[in-house]
Amino acid sequence: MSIVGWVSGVMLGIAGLLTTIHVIRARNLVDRAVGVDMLIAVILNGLAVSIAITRDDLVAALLLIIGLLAFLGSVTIARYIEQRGP
Amino acid sequence: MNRLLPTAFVLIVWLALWGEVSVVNVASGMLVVAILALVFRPTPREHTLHPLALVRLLAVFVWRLLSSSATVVLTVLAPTRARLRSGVVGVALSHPSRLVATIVADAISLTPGTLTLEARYAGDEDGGGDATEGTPPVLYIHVLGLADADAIRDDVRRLERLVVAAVTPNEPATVLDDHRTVAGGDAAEGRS
Amino acid sequence: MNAVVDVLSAVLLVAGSALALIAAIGLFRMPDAYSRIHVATKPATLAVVFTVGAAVLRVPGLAPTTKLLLAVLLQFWTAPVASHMLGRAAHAAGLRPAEPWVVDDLQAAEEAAGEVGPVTRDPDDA
Repeated sequence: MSIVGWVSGVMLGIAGLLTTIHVIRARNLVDRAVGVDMLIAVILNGLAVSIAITRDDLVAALLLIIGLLAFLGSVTIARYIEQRGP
Repeated sequence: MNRLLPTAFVLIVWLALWGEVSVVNVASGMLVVAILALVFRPTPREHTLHPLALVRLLAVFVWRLLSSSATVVLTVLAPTRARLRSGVVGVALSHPSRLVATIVADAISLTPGTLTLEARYAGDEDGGGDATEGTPPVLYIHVLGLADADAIRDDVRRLERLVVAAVTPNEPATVLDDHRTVAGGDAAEGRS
Repeated sequence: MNAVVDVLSAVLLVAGSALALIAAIGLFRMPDAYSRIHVATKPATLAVVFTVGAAVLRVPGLAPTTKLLLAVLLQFWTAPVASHMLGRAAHAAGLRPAEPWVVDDLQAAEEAAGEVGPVTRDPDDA
């Protein structure tokens, strides 16, 4: 199981790195918003992987709350872009 | 009975958040439900729920999600011109119900490859219609990997039929004009 | 039985992480904002579903299971709304696609309604 943990961790780490580069290089706000949403999805994935590997449910509530707040953030940025432009 | 479903739903979510069914949790859940019932007025029921059709709808959702994810994986790993061709297809729905349109738009946005961009209702300038509008909305859907616009339209209409089977709009009580009924007349023909 | 569950959970974990990686790669390979929304938000949601499913299989006890299931349900429910709103915002702000759209019914409808003119902002070309 630890091998699986390493493999998943490395893949998620690369995904997070690529997404961060995209957020930095983005030329407009929509791209940045999509990148941030994707980053949070990677974080959620990482939390879930940690729960699966360690069998410790400490971060389960964190998963839930971060998911909720990410949605709220995405929708807020989207409303802002609609009114003010990218 | 009108309030039973949302009440039970809130209670179940509350219990799920706490993780165990104990006297304290159920009691506090009832308290939360009571407070919510005082604060929010119940809305008049405009649709009837059909559980079996709902289960079928959910199964269709899951299948669409899985199969289109495979397409998206292909698109990312091997982006060809055909796979990247995109367009915005307008599909006119056949029911004026807002809830049905919302669920259809949601399902479309969930499946990779299609994304609902806009929904427009006729005679609706600022995008905020009211609930008693009688015209069916038109969904504008951005499609990645567009091959055939009519196939998309057929797909959306098939989805709409599934949704209507699950949450059937009741016949509205009011009629707009004496010769133009809102959904009462069309619903019978629209359901196939 | 335990071995089967562990293997299934391992498969789900790797599948979920691979999907997230593919979504991140897609952010770079897609030419315009709209296709990036397609490729980044939806496979990432599915990846979360897979990995949380793996966690549900592995974690003992009812309490964390219901929380994780709620988290999955929440993702399912909110991710399409978020991606729709981002797409709608991109169009309302006037972002242009990389190549002109093959079919563009929305443009026709907007012009018929006499609203704001064609999509004009500079194409994004990250």
